[in-house]
Amino acid sequence: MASKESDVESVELDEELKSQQHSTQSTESALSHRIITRSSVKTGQAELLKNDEEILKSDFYDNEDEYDDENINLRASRKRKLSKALKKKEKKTRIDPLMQGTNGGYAWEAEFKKPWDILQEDDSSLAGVVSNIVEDRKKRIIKDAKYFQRGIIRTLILIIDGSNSMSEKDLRPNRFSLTIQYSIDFIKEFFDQNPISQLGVLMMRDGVSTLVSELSGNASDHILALKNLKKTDGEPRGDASLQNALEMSRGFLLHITNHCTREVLIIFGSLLTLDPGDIDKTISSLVKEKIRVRIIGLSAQVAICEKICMMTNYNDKTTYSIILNESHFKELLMNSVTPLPINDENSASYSLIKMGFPKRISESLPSFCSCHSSLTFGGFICPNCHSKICSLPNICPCCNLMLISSIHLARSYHHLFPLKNFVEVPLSLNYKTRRCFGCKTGFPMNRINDLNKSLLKKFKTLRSSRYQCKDCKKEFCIDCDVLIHDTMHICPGCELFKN
Amino acid sequence: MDDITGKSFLTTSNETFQVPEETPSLLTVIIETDPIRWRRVIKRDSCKDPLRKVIKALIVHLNAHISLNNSNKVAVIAAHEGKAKFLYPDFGDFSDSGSNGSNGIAKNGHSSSHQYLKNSNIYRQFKIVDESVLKNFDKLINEDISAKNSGSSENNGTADNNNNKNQGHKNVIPGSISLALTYINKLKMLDDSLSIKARIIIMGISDDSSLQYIPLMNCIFAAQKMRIPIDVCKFSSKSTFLQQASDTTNGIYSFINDNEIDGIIQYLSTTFFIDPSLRKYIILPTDVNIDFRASCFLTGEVVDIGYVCSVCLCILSRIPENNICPTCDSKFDLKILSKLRRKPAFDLNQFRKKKKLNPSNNGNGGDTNGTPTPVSTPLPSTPGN
Repeated sequence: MASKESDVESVELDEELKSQQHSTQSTESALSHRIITRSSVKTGQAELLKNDEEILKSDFYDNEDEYDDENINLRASRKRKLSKALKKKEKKTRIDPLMQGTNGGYAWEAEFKKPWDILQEDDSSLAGVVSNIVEDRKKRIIKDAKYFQRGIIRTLILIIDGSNSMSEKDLRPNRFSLTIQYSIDFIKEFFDQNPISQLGVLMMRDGVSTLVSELSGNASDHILALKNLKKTDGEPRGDASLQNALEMSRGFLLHITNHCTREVLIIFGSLLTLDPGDIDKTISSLVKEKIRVRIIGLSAQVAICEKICMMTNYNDKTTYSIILNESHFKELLMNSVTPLPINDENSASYSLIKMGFPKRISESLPSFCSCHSSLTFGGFICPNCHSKICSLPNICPCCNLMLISSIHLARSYHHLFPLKNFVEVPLSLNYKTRRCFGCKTGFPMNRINDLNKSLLKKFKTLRSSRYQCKDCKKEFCIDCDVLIHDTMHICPGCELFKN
Repeated sequence: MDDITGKSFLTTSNETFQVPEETPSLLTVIIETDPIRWRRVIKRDSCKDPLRKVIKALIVHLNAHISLNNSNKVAVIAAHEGKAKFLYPDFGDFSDSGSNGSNGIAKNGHSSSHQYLKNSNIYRQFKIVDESVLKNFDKLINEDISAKNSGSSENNGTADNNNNKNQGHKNVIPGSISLALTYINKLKMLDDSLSIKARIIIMGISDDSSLQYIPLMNCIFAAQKMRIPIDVCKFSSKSTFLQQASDTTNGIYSFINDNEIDGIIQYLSTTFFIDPSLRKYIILPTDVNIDFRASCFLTGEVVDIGYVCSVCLCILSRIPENNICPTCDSKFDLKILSKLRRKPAFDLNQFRKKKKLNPSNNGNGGDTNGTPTPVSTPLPSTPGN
């Protein structure tokens, strides 16, 4: 590159000579000459810097073996920074040595250096700590895996606080919009996991309780109602009244048959309740009717909320909880998706429910459905009265028979027979497997050796990152573990090998 | 053209056509390679070596998928008897000792040389995939043969009896799907910037067994949640479970007759080649009539109207005599039971005779393969007792 430049220079110089011969030495050509010499100096500098860079690069590659895969990103970012700094250097001209900074340029022109970026870490500490934090976060998702009888067929009233306190901005964008948004997610998840359950939504505002969407098994209706609420009547106002809301939900849950659970979930943002009468009477009537109330507090613990939860949940304190942050809020909401354990004490009765399993048909000519009275192609035929309905699960509008498909029943089975939790494999010198059984990605080879033995005992930073199924003894990585316990509910190893 | 009234046609009428984005996609093929099950196809039909034909067609299909987009990926899982192995990508989980059974190779007609491809000058990506699939498949079969040869003679005695043999081995389709899902999940996690699409094709041959129902359903729901369509290419016999799998995940179910195995490539390159995002514009030969009925837990008969226990959700065709749930031992409320047992005020049977209408035989069509409930599920314990 330098040679090319000099060629150009010489050409220009020739031109200059020619112009001198013509004795019309213009200032322009002189200027150009000066610029050219400047540029040649610059290119020389750049070359030097390039050499520098190469040395640094080679340093990096030499060290490469020591880095594990997780450090690739870190390394890439560092490289980028380095090249940026080098580019900046190129722009610099000669500098007074007294004012020279660490980069070679003026100190105040140099990029701000974060000392923690320069810090070199050895292969075990930082990457290990980071991966441990990630794993810990993932592990929190994993739930209790005891077998319980659960109330699979649920009736739940979701009560959302719409009082003044919900316009607080401690949750982004504010408490109210976040609550609406999370409630929509909750409803989706609720009907995904409890397909034969019912849900209704109420709102507390202006000291009264208002109906947002009626008790039904259709998720899209509720979601639409909540979205409309966001659009039209979105501003929280007035005060909340727990008693009004509870009495209203009691009215909704009163006629529900005995085999369904009766639950109320309150998202409560305010610190006071504006009640028209004695709330203790309401609580005792809730207890009598076996309505279980859960409350998620958004601000601080309130004594009356705790009392309601304790009384209606047989002195179970865990049903009243206060959020720590956004993700904790979501976590608490999603906990309510899992059906509650039941026993003789807290559920009204066990019973058989008469259900119909309709057959799906396809038609070449449209016919009227009995649920919307509109022309549709195909649908489901009620086995009892042979009327056509559009979707499942549903209650036959003609004969009141509950219509479901076997798929809906299967959706709830994993609540009853949860998969056992995997156990973490302890650190050791030699592991049996090198890859995760599920996704086949390699495990990090975090071994105990004599060098780090004492260190490890002190800090406990290193982990095997292997999680073993107790039954089939296969080892999985944390991502597969989360997937298996959170969404799949079956262990691939047990499916393939256990008899 | 009955299909013109199908849902696929209806949805196109209102929408404007949009060109879907060119995103890379991962195609995961789960192929059942159990030789015993494939042998049944040979017995019934003149088609020789159907598994070989299917594998050939599969390789063409894989190559076609790779050639669509430069960053397209494939994975092949073999669901063998009692195990599931990745044929591609090659994770090297095969032991090399199995490749020694040279006499077995000759018997099966597989080439014994290490050159798996006739023409080694093909496109590199094709070559990597094809070779890996063929090599690992060969190893899988050889492992089998060497295990059988070294095994005792009693094994040979039972090998002839298909039914006994099949009961001994678990159906590995749910396990294979779960493996595929974990693999897809990890891949999606690793390069989320690419936002790779994924779909699964199951090339199955085994019959439904009620044991696999719950695991399979759990897999299906997981796939549905991850938005992975499951396409089913079923040989030998129809499968209600896999039909439900494809229906719930918006996949295609296609049953291939024994005498159509010769033309399997045509099925693969037409029906199963279409990207899920394009499927709503195309009328697909998928079966709309799916049996969603359940079968009774006690008697095993398919029920239209049944009774479901509110605690364990087991399905019963009639109310148990002792008023106790046979699965979870919970005592039912007598009041509700007496309500259920109550007969209509007029004699329904006489009414039926007059009208000559018998609903119990009406919609069934002689089907007996309904959806069964779990047989060997553990009993949930009652908390706090």
